[in-house]
Amino acid sequence: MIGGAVFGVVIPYVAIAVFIVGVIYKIIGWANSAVPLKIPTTCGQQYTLPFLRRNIYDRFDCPQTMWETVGRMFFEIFFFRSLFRNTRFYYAPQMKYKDARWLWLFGIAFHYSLLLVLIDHLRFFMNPVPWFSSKLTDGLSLTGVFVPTLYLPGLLIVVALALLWARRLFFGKERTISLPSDHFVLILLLAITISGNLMRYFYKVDLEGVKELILCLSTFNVARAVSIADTIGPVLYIHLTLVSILLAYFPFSKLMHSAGVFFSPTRNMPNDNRVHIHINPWNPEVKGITYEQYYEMYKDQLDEIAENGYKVKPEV
Amino acid sequence: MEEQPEVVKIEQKFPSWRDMLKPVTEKDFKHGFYHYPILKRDAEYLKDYIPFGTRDWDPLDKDWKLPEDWKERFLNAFKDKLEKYRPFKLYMDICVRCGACADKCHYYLGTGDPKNMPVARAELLRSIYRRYFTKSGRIFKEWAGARELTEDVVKELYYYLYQCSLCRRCSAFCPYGIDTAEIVWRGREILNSIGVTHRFTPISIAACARTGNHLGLLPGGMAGALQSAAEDIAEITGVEIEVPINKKGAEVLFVAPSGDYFATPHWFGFMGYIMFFHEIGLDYTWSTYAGEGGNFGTFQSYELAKLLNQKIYHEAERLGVKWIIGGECGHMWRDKHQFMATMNYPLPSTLEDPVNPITGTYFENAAESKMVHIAEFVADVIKHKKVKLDKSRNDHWKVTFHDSCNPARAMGLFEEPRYVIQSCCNYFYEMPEHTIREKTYCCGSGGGNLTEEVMDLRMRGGMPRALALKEVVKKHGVNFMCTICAQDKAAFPILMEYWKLPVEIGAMMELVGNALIMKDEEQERTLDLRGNPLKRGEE
Amino acid sequence: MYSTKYVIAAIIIFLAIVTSPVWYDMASGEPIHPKLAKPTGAHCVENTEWMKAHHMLLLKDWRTMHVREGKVLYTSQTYGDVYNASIEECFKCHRSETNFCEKCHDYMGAKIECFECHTYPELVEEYNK
Repeated sequence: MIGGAVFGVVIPYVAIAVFIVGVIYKIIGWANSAVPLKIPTTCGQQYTLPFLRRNIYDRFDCPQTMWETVGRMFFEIFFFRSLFRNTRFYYAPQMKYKDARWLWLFGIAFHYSLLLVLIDHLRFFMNPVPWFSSKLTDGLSLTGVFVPTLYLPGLLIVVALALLWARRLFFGKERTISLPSDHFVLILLLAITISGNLMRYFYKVDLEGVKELILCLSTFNVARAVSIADTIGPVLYIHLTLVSILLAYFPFSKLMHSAGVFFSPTRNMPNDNRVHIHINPWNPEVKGITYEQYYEMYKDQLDEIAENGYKVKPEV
Repeated sequence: MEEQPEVVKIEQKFPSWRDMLKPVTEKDFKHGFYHYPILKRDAEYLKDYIPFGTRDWDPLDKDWKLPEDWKERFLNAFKDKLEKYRPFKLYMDICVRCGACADKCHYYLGTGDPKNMPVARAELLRSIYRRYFTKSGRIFKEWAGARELTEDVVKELYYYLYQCSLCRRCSAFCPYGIDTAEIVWRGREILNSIGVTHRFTPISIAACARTGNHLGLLPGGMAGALQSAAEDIAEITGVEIEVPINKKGAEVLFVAPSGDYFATPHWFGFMGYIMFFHEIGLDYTWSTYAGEGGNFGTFQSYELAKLLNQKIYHEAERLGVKWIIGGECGHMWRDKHQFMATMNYPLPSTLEDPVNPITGTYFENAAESKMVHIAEFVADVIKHKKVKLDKSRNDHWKVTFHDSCNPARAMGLFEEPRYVIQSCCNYFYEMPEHTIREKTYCCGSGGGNLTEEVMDLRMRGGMPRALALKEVVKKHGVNFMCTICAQDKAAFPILMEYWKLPVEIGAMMELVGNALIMKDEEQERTLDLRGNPLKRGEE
Repeated sequence: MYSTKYVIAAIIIFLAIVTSPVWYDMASGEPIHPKLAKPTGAHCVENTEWMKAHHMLLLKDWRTMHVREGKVLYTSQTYGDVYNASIEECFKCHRSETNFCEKCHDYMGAKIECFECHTYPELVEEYNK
C-alpha cells in the first residue's frame, strides 16, 4: 500500500511540481536580467545596398526583420541549423575540411525520437487517445515482426543516446570537457528509454491499470490513484521513478538548454542595430574628457590647425 | 622575431575532467602566452574603472597582492554581471558541453591546450558560477563541476581570459549561440574589479581617453600624418590634395582606426581614403578629438567602451556633421554596429539621415545610428559609376580577401568589400570555403592580444588562417591579402614572416587608391601607392 | 523583469503544454475506465491479471502451436483445463469484439491486428443476416 502510494502518486506529483516551478523560476531568473546590447551573431550577408542581393540563407542566418529572426529561430530549434554548419579543421596538406556533422545527426535523431516517443506517450495521458498520437504510432511502427509492434523511435532513441554517450567516452576532446553531470544525464536517459522498451516488449505490465493511474493523477483523483497504484507491477515504477528524477533534475541542469535556446541574444535578435537602436535599461553615465577640456590640453596645436583654415596642405 | 622554432609542435592533451578543474597557476604560465600586468600610470588614469591596478605585481609572482577583500569583490562583481547581463547569466546555465565549438577556436587549433577550447574557457567561469550561485554546485561541489574560488583560480582566469581574441567563431557553430566573447568580456570586467588586468589595452584606452586615439597622437601629430599622406599622394600621382581636419559644418565626419595614421601597411589604405574622398568631392572632415574608430574598451568593460565611443557622437554634434563614415577596422565595427548607438542613446539631434551626397543613396541599414561603413559607401559610389577605376593598375597583385572576424560575424559585411575589391582588381581568388565569410579565422592577434609578449600565442593562433592562405598561394599564386581590419594589418605581416608566406597585406582602400583614376591627374601613374612599379596586363 | 511580454507568453505556452493532459481529460469527460462487455464464462484461459497484460503473447503462441506445430489443444497453466488453441475459442465467452477488444484497445491507443484476417462475432452475425 505504502509502496504504491509513494512510487505511484507522491514521487510523480512532487517531480512534476518541481519541474514546473523550477523551469518557471529559471526562466524568470533569466528574464530578470536585462539584455544590454543587441549582439546577434551574423552568419550571412547583412541587409544592405539594393544591388547586393541576399539569398535565402543570408536572410535566415543574418535576419533583418522580425520574421526573418523568427525563421532563424525556427531553423535553429527544429533543424539545429548551427550544428549543421559543423565542419572540422584538419592540418592536412590540402585545406580540405572534413564533414563533422555526426553530432548533428545523433543530436537530431535523439531529439526527434524523444519528441515522437513523448507524443506516443500521450496515449497514456489523454482519454480518449488523440487521433494524431495513434496515427503517428501506427505510422512509425514496424508490424508483423514482433508482438507488440516495434515502435521505431523508441528504439532509435536508445541508439542515438548510446552514440552520444560513446562520443563522450571515446573522443578525447569530448571526454575532457564532459563533467559527471553530462554522463549522468545520458545514463539517466538511457535507463529511462531502456526500461521503457523492456516494459513494452518483455516485462509486461497491465497497461489498462497504468492508464487508469495516470488519468487519476491528472484529474487529481488521489484516493483512487493510490488504490490502483498497488495493483501495477514494479517494472512500471522503475520507469516512472527514473522519469521523475529526470523531471525534478531538469530545471537545475544543463537540460534547461531547451528553454534557454529561445532566450539566446545571439540568435533571437535581428541584425538591425543601426536601424533600430536597442535600448539598454541600465545604461551608465560615463564621464570622459569633453572637447573643452581637450582643447585646454592641446590648445596650441589645435589653434595651429585652426590658423591653417582647418585643412592640411601637402608641402611639395 | 628572433627565436623561431624549427617545427611548431602542437601537442594535444586530453586530461580528465578533474584535471580540468585544477587551476593552471603562475608556475605553468608559458612565456609567449601570458600578458604583462597593467602599467601604473594607466592604472592611475583609469582608477575609476580598474581599481587596485597601481600595486606592484607580476603574473609570475606567487603573491599577486590582491586586495584583502578580493574574494568578496570578485563575487559581488560576478553577481552584478549576472544581474545586468542576460546573455552572461544564460550562457552560464545552458551549455551542454557538446563539443561543437571545441575545434573551432584558432587558439585551440594552434596550441592544443585543452583549456583553450571555447567551452573550457567558459567553464573556468562556470565552475565558479556553479559553486557560488547554484544549489547543485553548493551541494555536490566538484561532482557538479564546481570549484572553490582561490587565488590560483584568479591566476588561471587571467591567463586564459586573455588568450581569447573575442572573434566569436565558436558562437557561429554553437547550437545555442553561446557567445564566448560575451563571457570573456564579463570575465575580464570581473577581473578588473580586483585589479587584475593586462598591460596592452589599458595603455591604448588611457591614451584614447586622453588624446582621442589609441596611439596617443596629439592633434599636431595627426595633422602631420595627414600632411605626410597628402605629400606621398602628391609624389605618386602628382595631385595635391587639401585634407580637411576639425572642419565645422562638413557634411560627413570620417573616423578611422588610429593605426591607419602611422603603421604600415595601413598607410596605403590611409592614402586611399584621402584620394577617394577628394576624387568624389565629398564634403568631409577628419577629427582630432574623435580621431579613433577603434575601441579597445570593448575588450575590457562596458564603461570603458562607452568612455571611448561617446567621443564620436560628441564630436559629430560639435562639428555639426550630418552623418559619419567609419574606416576599415574590425572590432571597431563590432562597437560601431552593435554597441555605440545603444551606449550613447539618445543620439545628438543634429545628425541627419545618412544620404550619400554623390549618388543620393539613402543608407537604409544605418538609418538611426547614422554611421556607414567605408565599404558600403565606396561600393555605392562604384556601383553608380561616379569614379573611374583602372583595374589593370592592380595587375601585379593576385588578391585574396580575409574576412575580419567582427565585420563578418557581428555585422554581416561580406559582399560590400568583395564588390569593391573585384571592381578594383583583375585577379581575385577566394580562400577555402570554410575559412571565409562567417567561418572566417581570426588573425590570432585580436581582442587585446596585439602585443609582443604573447607572440607565440599569436603566431599559433594565426596558423589556420596561414594554412588557408598557403592553399591559395600554391593554387593561384596569391601575393596580396586584403583585409578590412587595422589589427589584421598589424598582425599579418609578422604572421606571414613566421609561416613563410610570400604575401603582402593591405587595405581594401589601397586597391581602390591604386585603381582610382583621378580627374586632375596629369600623367599616367607608373608607381602604385607603395612605390612599386606597375605591371599592367601581366598574367 | 525585462521583455515581459515574451517571457509571460513563453511561460503560458510552457504551462499549456505541460498541463495539457489535465485540461484534455477534464474537457473530454470520458470515464476514467471504459466499460467492457462482461464475458460469459467463469474464468478466462489463465488468470485475469495475467491475461490483461499478456493476452497478445498467448494468442501469438497459439498461432505458432496451431499453424506451425500442428498442436490444437492448450492446457491452462492456472486452471488445468484444456482449450482449443484458436481465437474462436475466445469468442465463446467474449461475445463482442466492439465492446470488448476494440473498446479497451481504443482506450489504450493500441492497434488490433487480429481482425485484419480473422472474423469476429459481429461480423459473423452480420453475415448470417
